[in-house]
Amino acid sequence: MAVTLDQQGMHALEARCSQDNPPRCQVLCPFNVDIKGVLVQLGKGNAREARKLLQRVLPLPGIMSRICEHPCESSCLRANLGGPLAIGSLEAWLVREEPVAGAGFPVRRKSQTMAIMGTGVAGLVCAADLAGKGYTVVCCHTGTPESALQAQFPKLAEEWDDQRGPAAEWAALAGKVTFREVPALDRALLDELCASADAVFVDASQCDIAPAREACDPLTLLWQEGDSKVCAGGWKETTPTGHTFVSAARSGGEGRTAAVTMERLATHVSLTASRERETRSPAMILDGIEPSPRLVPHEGTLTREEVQAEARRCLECQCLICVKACAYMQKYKGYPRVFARMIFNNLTIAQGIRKANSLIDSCALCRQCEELCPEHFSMADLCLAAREDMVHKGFMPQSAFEFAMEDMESASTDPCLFVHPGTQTETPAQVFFPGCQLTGCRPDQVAAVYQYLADSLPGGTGIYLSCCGIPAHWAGEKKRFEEHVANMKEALARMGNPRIITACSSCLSIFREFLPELESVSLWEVLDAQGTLPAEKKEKPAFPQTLVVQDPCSARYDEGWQKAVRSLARKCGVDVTEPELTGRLTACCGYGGNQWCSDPEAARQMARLRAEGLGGPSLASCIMCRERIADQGVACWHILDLLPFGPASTQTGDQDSTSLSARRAARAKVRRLLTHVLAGEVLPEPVPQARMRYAEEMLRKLEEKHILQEDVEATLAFGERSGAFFEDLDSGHRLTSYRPRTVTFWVEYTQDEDGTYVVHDAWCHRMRVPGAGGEVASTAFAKQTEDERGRISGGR
Amino acid sequence: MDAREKALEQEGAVKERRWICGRCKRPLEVESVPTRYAHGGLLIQLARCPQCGLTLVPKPLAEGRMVDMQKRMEETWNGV
Repeated sequence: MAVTLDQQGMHALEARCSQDNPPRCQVLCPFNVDIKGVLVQLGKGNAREARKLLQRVLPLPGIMSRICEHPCESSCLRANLGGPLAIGSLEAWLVREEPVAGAGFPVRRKSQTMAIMGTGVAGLVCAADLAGKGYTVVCCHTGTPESALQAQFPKLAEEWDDQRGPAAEWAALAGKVTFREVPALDRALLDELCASADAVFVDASQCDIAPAREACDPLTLLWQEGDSKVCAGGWKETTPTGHTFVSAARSGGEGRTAAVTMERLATHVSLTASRERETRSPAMILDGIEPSPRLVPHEGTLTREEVQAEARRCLECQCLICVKACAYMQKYKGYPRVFARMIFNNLTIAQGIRKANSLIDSCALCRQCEELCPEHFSMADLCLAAREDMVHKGFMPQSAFEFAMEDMESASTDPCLFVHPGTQTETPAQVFFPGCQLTGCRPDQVAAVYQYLADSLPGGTGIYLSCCGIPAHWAGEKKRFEEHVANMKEALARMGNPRIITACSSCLSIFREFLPELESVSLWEVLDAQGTLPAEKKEKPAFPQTLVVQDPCSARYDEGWQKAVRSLARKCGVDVTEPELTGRLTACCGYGGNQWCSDPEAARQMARLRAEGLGGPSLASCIMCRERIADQGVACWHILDLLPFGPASTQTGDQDSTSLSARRAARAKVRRLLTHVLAGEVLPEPVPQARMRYAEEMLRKLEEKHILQEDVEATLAFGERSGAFFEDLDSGHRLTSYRPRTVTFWVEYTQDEDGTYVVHDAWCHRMRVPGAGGEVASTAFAKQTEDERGRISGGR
Repeated sequence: MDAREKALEQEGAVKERRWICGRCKRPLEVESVPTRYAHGGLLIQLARCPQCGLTLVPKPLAEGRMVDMQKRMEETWNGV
């Protein structure tokens, strides 16, 4: 979806989302009645509110409610679910039983005069509309004023004196317009009215001189050939058998259309501007909706209970297809149309609060909405464009993606980065790029897979341990991402541009989009094509017979990936079942788009919703899916846990996720392992700065706060080294802080008799505080900020 | 100064009675400290060693209102 961040581009985006569009019934109503609103109020037993909504737009309710054919019912989505809503019966009941709500606003009298020729339903609606706007309206008729209407709808004559019926409506109308009996509705009269009035309406059902429908502009009903101030409407319809009749809905609608044109004629404004009505209704999914039978008509008045029950059958047509599937959109309480406006406002605001920063930075960019939406609205394209714009303009909040960027940096530099062409040749036929998160969570299997590929694929296999740079791409850091891609291109070129085999769907998406000149393929397709898998080297892991498959969001368009994973699982003896949303429609676990970093709460909700959607033990092919779904209490295996690679597996589906610190350590470990194997070099193992002990609960808390164990250790070491710590004499606890980068870390600890440090608590903040984290609290620093204080305070 | 900022100051000023400065062995005193973030700054009442200036940011403050204020400063910065 192309995104242009200007007014026009935003309008185009907003138009894609149909959530605010009128339902089908309203689209077919010539008067644009908010039928859904009326039904919702009736369903709540709130007849007065329903009446208000109705009288706001329906002309002559006491008459129209009795003669309208209700085209609205023909498009009701309840049609095959018990029958369309009995909108006509409910409307008639409402008009009869509920008095007119309020007196309405007084209308300023206008100086212009409008003339109506013929008092059929079209002429009367036109007259009522114009009189309601304050114009002087003269209705010319032959016979009695009401005879034309009664002739068109004989049933009306019978019900003329009903409660709040035609008689009452007529009396009200007669108070606002002037009826003038004429001998004939002919050409001479038209000429006379054209001379005396500002605009004229010709009711075609009453006037022989009326033009044919084709002679009038379909949008304005302006008579093209006649005087330029004559509109016409109310033509009779003809059945296939030649019978003629007047459609109340269509004629009434034409009366209204003509009234709008006549007002615009009289006030000299554009006849055509903003007159096209929205014809697209919200998309609806009807699966799972129980049928419910339509109200059975009977003699006598409907009871309030019957009316309420019937109104409650309304499906309240609205789309929200994407919102129902996305925890992120649910968290931000809106839908794409609203989000687009909020995001655009956020980007263009000159002064004030950028309230949509979080909305922009929290999207998982997973593209599920794009696939679910009939119009393919893409929150991913919108949010990514907005992020790039924010970074470009320098408005991107520092806190949003910094931690994800640090993780990327760590995985792409020493001691985790490792590029080697393998032992066979300097220019191998392929290179294994496992992906940094899989390397971090499954180090032994990754090393074993490399060994297998090196042994079994012809032409030599290189290894490339690094991040693919997708966190920078997701963060809108274009420049940084381009630099990363350039580095990867260079490293791959040194190996003679081999085919890339990757075990990560995000990496694969990056290679295919940004390094299209190189061939890239998933590890799963390579393994699946091998025919036989390596002999069992490890104990067969225990996993359930049946697993629900979780496709990664970044492989939603990759059928090769999806097929290979299912095929490999079957080879391992697993029966694969599909969740409701799978393949192209799969849901994100909350890792995508750096959501885990920018909005951990939304990411948790995403994982929870997905885990619920999977409903049972599952099989992931992205390691982050596995980790995050398992954290929600739904056992989840990675496809690599099923395959016979690596040492005897201790991996089970319900195992907790691997901590950020452990992932970093594991990446370095794989590098050491492979450096030893390929280069014969023994890299030193990291030496911990001190012996540390954490309670299990503490490690989980650190993970939630994005505090690495190495940060805790560095903080503690800094405190002990510098002596800059607080002391609690009663408990013996010490408290120290350290600011190694843009974050100040705090650690509360004690030391055991054997010298082990026990961490009791830790927290962090981004604000720079003089006197904390190693920042000096000297007079110089204080003075400097003192000077700024005036500016800052003044600015507040 | 709005209510949120006032509350932030008061929270920071809750005297950390249990802690003394480990280096100077002096009890802490509350002082107005000019903190900085992104492109702005804020005065916060914090417990501080009167001798060496070692300053304490308590956990409820760091994880509560400080986060709110950081977010607000990010939202209101307009590159000026």
